[in-house]
Amino acid sequence: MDEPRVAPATTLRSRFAGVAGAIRYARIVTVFYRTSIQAEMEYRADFFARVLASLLGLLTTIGSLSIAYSYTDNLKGWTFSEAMVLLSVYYLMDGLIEMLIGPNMRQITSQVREGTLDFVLLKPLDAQFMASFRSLNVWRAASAVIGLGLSVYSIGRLSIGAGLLQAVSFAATLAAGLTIIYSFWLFLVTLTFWFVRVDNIEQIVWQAFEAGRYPVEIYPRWLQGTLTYAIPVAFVITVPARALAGRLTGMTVLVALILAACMLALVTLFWRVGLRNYTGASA
Amino acid sequence: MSDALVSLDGLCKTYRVHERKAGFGSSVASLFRRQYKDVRAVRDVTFQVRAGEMVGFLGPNGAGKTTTLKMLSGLLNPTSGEAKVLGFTPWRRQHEFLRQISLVMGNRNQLNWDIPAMDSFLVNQVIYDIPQEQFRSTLDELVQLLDLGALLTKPVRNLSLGERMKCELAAALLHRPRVLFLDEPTLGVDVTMQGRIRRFVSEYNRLTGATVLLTSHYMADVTALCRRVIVIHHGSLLYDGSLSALGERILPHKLIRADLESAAPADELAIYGDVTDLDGQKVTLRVPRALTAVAVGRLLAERSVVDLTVEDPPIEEVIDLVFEGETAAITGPDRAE
Amino acid sequence: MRYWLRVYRVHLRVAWALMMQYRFSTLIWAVWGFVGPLISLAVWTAATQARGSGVSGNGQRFDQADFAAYFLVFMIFGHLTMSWDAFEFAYRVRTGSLSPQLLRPLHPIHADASFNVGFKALTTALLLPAWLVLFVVLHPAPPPSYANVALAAPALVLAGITRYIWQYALAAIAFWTTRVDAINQLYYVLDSFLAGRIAPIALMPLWLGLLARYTPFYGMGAFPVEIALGRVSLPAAALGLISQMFWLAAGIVVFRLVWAAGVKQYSAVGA
Repeated sequence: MDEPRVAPATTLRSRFAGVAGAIRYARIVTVFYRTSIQAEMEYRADFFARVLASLLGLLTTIGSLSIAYSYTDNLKGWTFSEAMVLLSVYYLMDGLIEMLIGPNMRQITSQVREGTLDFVLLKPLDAQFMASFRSLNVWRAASAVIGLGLSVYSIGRLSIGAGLLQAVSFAATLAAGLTIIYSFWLFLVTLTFWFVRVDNIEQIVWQAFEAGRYPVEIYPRWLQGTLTYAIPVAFVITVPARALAGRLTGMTVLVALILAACMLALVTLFWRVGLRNYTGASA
Repeated sequence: MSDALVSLDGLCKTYRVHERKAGFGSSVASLFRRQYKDVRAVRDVTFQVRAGEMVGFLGPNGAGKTTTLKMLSGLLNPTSGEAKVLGFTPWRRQHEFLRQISLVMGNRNQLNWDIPAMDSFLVNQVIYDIPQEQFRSTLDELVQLLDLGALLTKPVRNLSLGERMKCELAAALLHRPRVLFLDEPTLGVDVTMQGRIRRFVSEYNRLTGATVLLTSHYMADVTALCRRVIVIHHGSLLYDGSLSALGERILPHKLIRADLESAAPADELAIYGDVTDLDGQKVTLRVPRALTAVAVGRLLAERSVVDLTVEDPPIEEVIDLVFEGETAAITGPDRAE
Repeated sequence: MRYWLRVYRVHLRVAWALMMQYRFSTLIWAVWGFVGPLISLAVWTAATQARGSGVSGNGQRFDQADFAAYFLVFMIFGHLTMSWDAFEFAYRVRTGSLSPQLLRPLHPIHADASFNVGFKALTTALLLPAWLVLFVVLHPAPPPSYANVALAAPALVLAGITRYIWQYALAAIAFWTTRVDAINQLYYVLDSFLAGRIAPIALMPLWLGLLARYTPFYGMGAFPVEIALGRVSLPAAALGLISQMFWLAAGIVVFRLVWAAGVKQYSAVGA
């Protein structure tokens, strides 16, 4: 047998490692999610109660918007229908975040507190990957679906035609938004490596997120800036809403995707620093 | 040295802890100036373990046993010193290393509470990339050894503590690790289950040749499983050798328990040795090792003895003395290995 | 009587120590109360600006400064009457940490109430500067007379106790079901509309405003605020106070019934 030539063989091997690695990680995510769903099925009865609770929250906001709009037909340039689009995108985003990201972030926090993060570190698997994909809150999919349905309905009421381009940019900006929120939340969670007792720091995110139900322009200028750049709530909700309405340039979508990628890279670095601190590695 | 699977050299771990006294005044003061204290959890620990050995770490709470084990499994970075496990530096946490080790902690669970243990096993199979054939055969083996049959389909939250521990052990061994770290595995478990877990670990070691490092503050764990013990106290390694040798060195005496035909007062029996216990006709005497035969002979000759046994002092006494600081006898050039 | 004083004092001390340990967490929880009122204020300010003039409904008029006053006072009063045991309880029942509390010769409500009071005392002191800043920044309309604020005090105290009792009764539902999320959310929805949380009651549809006055929510929420802002006539205020006392009594009755039934249920299942 000929000796394999070194250069192409290694690139071929590393490429297969890449694909095989990706396949392995995909399999692992599937198993994690399946296990999560199984665990949730144990509490089947709570499913409807939770969906109901979630719906009630949505109806409260719709109600309060209706009351405000009974006295005026626009709030800072947003009509009722437009505000409804924003609210439905908020609801969709909230559902997705609570389904995919929330349970994992909270689990990391409690694992750090109880010392069970060790088990994650003992596995032959990237710790950030395992901690981020471990759990899935399946019932939230109902919120996401309702939000999606409401978004499409509200857009329809605005008599804006919906096309493939809009759908694609909507999906892209949603994905970017999710990545941005994930990065921000993981950043806060990583802080608990140093400040274990401030584990409700995620409340800051939620307090800010609440504000995203309404158009960001109703807030004072300085707050608008905070909600767009510092805690990127407005960005994450307004941008997909605009994409859905077809009022977004391709440039902005690209910016959103690049921003998401940068934040992800930064938080991954920060996580590694936090982990080194957790295991007592000197800086 | 070269055939050591686990080797440590001068391993140290020091923590900086923020100290604060109780009270309102101090909590305000601590906002401005913090006082730190260096806690040396592990000081300069050096030893080697060969493949297939079962080593027990003894020490009171806070001695540094768990810290050492965490460093060897890669969970903690040491402050200084080196260690190699299976040829890897543990705290680099390379995947190849992690695939071959396992850590079981007595007071913490890794199993998912809401689903049957079997489902957690399947997750591990995927994570550790265990081929189906191997997974099946290892699982069958573990089910048989640990008597898991009925337990695997019940949600973990419905199992008793002992049953949960068995499932934890199984989950940790599915990937057939070559090195097994056990940190207080029998904590809180009832006596019968303790015995079963011990027997399992011993069987597992015999069957697979896995190297086992076990910490416990239950003497029975260590005496049942490990011929070799390492005593750690205040972070330092006090003794490394066989358990019986430790006993001989620390407490160089034996216990004679005699059942006499007729009771006798303590001062009369004191000529044979130290009377440590006297209950009617039953007496316990403590005599120096070298004088045991003489004392027994005299007792049998001078008194009517119904029953007599000669015992080693309970190992707990040995360990207590070690911890209380009678370490002069065991440190120094006398250290075994 | 001295017994109760001692009980509350020792629990307050424990609450203090606990909060000292978790200083920043406590602060973050306290700031949560800012969000709702400020968002509502932003919405109504935008509405006012769109109209160019104030908003009127049901004989009451609100311009921008009035809204600022309303929501700011609502925020402060809301903070002073808040309670969270309804959320805690489900957790306690699930983890079994309720059992040791039930074994003590003291009803758990006392420990929780003293923690509640201690938390409010501490956080009010911490939030006072922030509230003052908000007063300066938001330019709220002053009440016709500051005596109104003093008159609001009894209403506020009644509101706080009533709210606590009803919330605790709600919390006891956790004895029966873990599906407390929906129930708590339902309470939140009712509270949002009927207590004037999202908008002054006068600005809501007529039927909603009428309904509100027949529920405990009005007394627990908007009523003290309206007194402080001088928007309630004397006869209406007297009526409101009587209504509050009625709902307090009703709350105590409901609480005792629900609690007794709940504990029986809890021990039947195996605490």
